[in-house]
Amino acid sequence: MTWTENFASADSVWIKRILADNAEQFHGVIVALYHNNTFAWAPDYSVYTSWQKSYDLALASGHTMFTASQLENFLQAREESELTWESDSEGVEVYCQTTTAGLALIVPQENLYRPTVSTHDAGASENPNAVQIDTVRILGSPYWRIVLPQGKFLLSFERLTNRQGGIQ
Amino acid sequence: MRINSAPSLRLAKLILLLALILVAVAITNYFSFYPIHRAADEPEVFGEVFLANSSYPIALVVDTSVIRQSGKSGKFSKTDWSYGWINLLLQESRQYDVIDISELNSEENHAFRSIWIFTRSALAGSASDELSALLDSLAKGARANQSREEVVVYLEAPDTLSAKNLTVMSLLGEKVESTKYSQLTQIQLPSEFTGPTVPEFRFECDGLVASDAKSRLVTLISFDSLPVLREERRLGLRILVATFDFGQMAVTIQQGKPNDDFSVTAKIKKRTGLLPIVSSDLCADSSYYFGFTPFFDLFEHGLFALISGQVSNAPLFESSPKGAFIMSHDEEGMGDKSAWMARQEQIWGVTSATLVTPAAITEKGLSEIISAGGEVGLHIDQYSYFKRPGLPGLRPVKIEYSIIEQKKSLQALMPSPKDSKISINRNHWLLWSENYTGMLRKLAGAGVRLDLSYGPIGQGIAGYLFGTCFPFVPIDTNGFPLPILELPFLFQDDEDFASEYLDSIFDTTTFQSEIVNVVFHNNTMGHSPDTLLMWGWRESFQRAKDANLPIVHYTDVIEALRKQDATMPTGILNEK
Repeated sequence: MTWTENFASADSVWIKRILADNAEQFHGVIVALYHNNTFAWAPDYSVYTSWQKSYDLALASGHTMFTASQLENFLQAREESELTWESDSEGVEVYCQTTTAGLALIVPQENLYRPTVSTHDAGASENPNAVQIDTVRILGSPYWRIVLPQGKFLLSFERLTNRQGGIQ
Repeated sequence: MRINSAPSLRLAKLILLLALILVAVAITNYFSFYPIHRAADEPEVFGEVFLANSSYPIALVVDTSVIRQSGKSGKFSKTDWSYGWINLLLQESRQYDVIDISELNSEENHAFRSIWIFTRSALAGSASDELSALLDSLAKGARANQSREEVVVYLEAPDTLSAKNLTVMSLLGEKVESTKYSQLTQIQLPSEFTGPTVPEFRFECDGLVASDAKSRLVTLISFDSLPVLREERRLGLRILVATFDFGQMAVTIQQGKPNDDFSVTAKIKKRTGLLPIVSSDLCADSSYYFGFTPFFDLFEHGLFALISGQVSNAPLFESSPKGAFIMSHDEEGMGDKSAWMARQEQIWGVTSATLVTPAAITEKGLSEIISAGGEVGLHIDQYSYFKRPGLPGLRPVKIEYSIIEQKKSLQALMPSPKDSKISINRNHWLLWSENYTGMLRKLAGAGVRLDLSYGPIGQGIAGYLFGTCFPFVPIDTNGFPLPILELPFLFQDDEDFASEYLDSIFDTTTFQSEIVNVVFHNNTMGHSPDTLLMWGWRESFQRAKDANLPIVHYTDVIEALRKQDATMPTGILNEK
């Protein structure tokens, strides 16, 4: 749980900062608690507006809205997905098999080029172009964020030391 | 044979003792749960003769001896309600005189008066020749007046058309069939004057005055096709004769109508809820339960326009001819936490009144409300807030706190002496007495100047139940005014509040100096949370601003009346 309405003085400025930090650095699951009965014992209009605004603020900062059961489904899908890799001096190859779309892989960019994506099996129906790749920062360091459709994919990272140039 | 009975006797005594203890415990428990209810001793102030002569251009003429005599009947229909006129004049002019007909001196020059209103009581005590002499005198005054062309005289004919009353009618040169007029239902407005057609009525009246001013005899108002207000020019005077009892109508609608003997017990028997009787039970007609048109205020506005020949323009608040808005909160024993709404309103830049039962709140909570710019009034509770003398587990009696006790308790909690004037009140649960005006007498006796207990109660009931949102002076069962004002409210948030209420209320075409006031309880979000209420609370302020209504306090209403030297019974405007 990240905040409760009655203990965290959750005004919109505070919430905005939490959400921005999470979106930019931590990428965790923000859990807000607004008690159903707050107005019975600690009535405060700012709690009401904080509750109302938090939905918009979360969406505006790039968060996905989950219920607890949806989060559980997400975690289960991640658990059921397969991830193996092989590493040598030239690079890293990652094999992913996801059971649902939307799971993301976060890989440190240190010494690794942007990966190339291919299907794992010859003649497979997956579309490598459907894989979205961008950069996020976690605690200041850059990471590749690779959002995967459902299916089997092979991600090939080449090491920077193998050729001239910097991070793409 | 000898029998030793001592052991069995001792056993019997022991059993008896135990039985007595059990009975005592049972009785104690019973009365702890169902204590004997003792009402508080409350001083009452009764309606009194009210006369005022400041040489204002409007004079209301009453006959206090007729009113006094009729008031002895103890019957609503037999009592003379001539004083009901003061509420029309309070709304439309505020500066008027009230003169007993015995004080009228035909030799006196009354030329400065522009409007004389002879009420039913004044005419009931006048012989026809006296009345003619009086009209002659007024006509002389009118001719002597250089500044005005004529004196307007309004004559209200008594309801039963006796020979004397026919004389009044014959001033118009017309014979009247008494049975025809006695069929009028005088305690209700006819259907065409209620609901959305009221603004049209006002327009129509203005048109009639303009277009038919030179006619010898003009019907200005008819109820159900029967003429009830006619005009004639005679003796150099403009004479209007009403054949309906306006005073009774005013009292019936604004104050509600009791049973004919001034009790309201029939309504009690019909109620199935917890509350024995509430102020809205006085509403004479359930068809008013859903009306968002201040129909009686508009009727008064139109009637005054007919009498004076021009539409009144006497705003209570100079900055706002359309009236004002008051947000009120009932604290409901919530205590210091109830200040949350006042705090938020300060952030919004608006203000409200919090009406408080002095049971749980402390000086801290009151300070918060007042420092946030809020107003504090009394919310007397004689339904759930009692004295319970005795020992723990043995409190067989519950005694009401009197209104004065509750007022003093609240005054003692006020943060500073300047805030301690408690002059406004709304009864918790809107609880009323079985006697029609009994509660008003008690409130007046406790020094309450403005009561706010009239209003809708019951799921989905909202609107102008009493046809008004302008403060009025209640008339006591003896026919004389009480030294207190009543201002009905329009809805309570916890009675099925709907957004349409605001649409209807703030339809500005119906505003005529209304003091629109609504109730959002401090604790509703605790027991019946609903985002609609949060929206409604905030939106009410916004709609008031959009309608250019100033957001004021209840005490501002009293202050505005004081500033305008409003003619009202002694005591209402006094500081206390």
